[in-house]
Amino acid sequence: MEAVGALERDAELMLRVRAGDTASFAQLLEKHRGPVVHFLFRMVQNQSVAEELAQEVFLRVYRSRETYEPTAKFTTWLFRIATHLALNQIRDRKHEKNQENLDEETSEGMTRQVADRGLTVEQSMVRDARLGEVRSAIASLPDKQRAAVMMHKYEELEYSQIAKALACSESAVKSLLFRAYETLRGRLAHLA
Amino acid sequence: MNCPLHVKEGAEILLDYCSQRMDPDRAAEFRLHVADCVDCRQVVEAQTAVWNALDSFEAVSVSVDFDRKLWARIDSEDAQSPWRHAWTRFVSGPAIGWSNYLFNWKPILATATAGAALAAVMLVSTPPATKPVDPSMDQKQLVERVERALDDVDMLNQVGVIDSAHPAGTI
Repeated sequence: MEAVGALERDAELMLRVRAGDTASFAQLLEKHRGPVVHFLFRMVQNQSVAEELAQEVFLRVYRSRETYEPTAKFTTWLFRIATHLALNQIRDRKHEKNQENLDEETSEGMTRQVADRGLTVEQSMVRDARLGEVRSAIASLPDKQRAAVMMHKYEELEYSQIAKALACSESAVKSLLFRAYETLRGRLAHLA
Repeated sequence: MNCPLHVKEGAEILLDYCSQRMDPDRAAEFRLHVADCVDCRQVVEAQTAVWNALDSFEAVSVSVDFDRKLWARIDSEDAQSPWRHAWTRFVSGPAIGWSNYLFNWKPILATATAGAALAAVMLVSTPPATKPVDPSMDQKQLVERVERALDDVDMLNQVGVIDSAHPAGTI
């Protein structure tokens, strides 16, 4: 169990939400909206799907307010819900085998990232190619490894938090991460 | 320092060093080791390259109407009548997973199953009822029965029977 001593700020806010204070929920939303959407975007690699899932994450948090108990870090709970939804979505999408939206969104995402930088056409192409390889390498990881890397690298969660989000042990997380980075080293070594 | 590649916790040491999560003293010690160990140096260099490559995968900005959409969904749920609200919560499932949700329902499911089994035994062991189902039951009575059942679900939800085993926020 985490954060059982001093009640963390997020847990305090959530307890206020439980008492009916929607302004506290707005504060939680403001603080965690970005990280949750970013995590989901990197997981599913589609912005509209990521935002739809993020809406569901916050909706579930709000729905659960009446029974909320601060026995774990709020972020851990939040990312556990997000991970659960992302893994379900990835599993469903695999069944559908429909890559059309992913391809469209991939191009769109890249364009947005490049457009802000004022790069030359050549630089943009190199960057697009590099980004494409990174995204492809991430997408090729097994689902749990991918989730572990996203939480470790981008969200900087602790091993214990990742373990709880993935419902496994800390040593299993370290093993997942090591194997994932090993795979990525093999796939992305030429980008060094 | 023992070479991390040859100790049990080596993976963790390399991960922590490359992700800059290692405490400064230990990192300095490991840096000295890396300077002398070709194998470790290769792993660290490759992992650093991966780390830098992953940095290029930036997330896009969140849509400006994200909050508006969410609040609209919340308002829509809040506006529902209590029993409908309970029904929505029931059909939409738990915050984390159905396995936990079903686990929460285990006592109720077990009781219901036991009740159904008992009813089945009684049906088999007792003579058939002489009086058939009352054909005079009208639409109004039927509606009342359904409403009573929904009220029961609502009551269970309000007293926390559904969620008391695993409150939200627990892992």
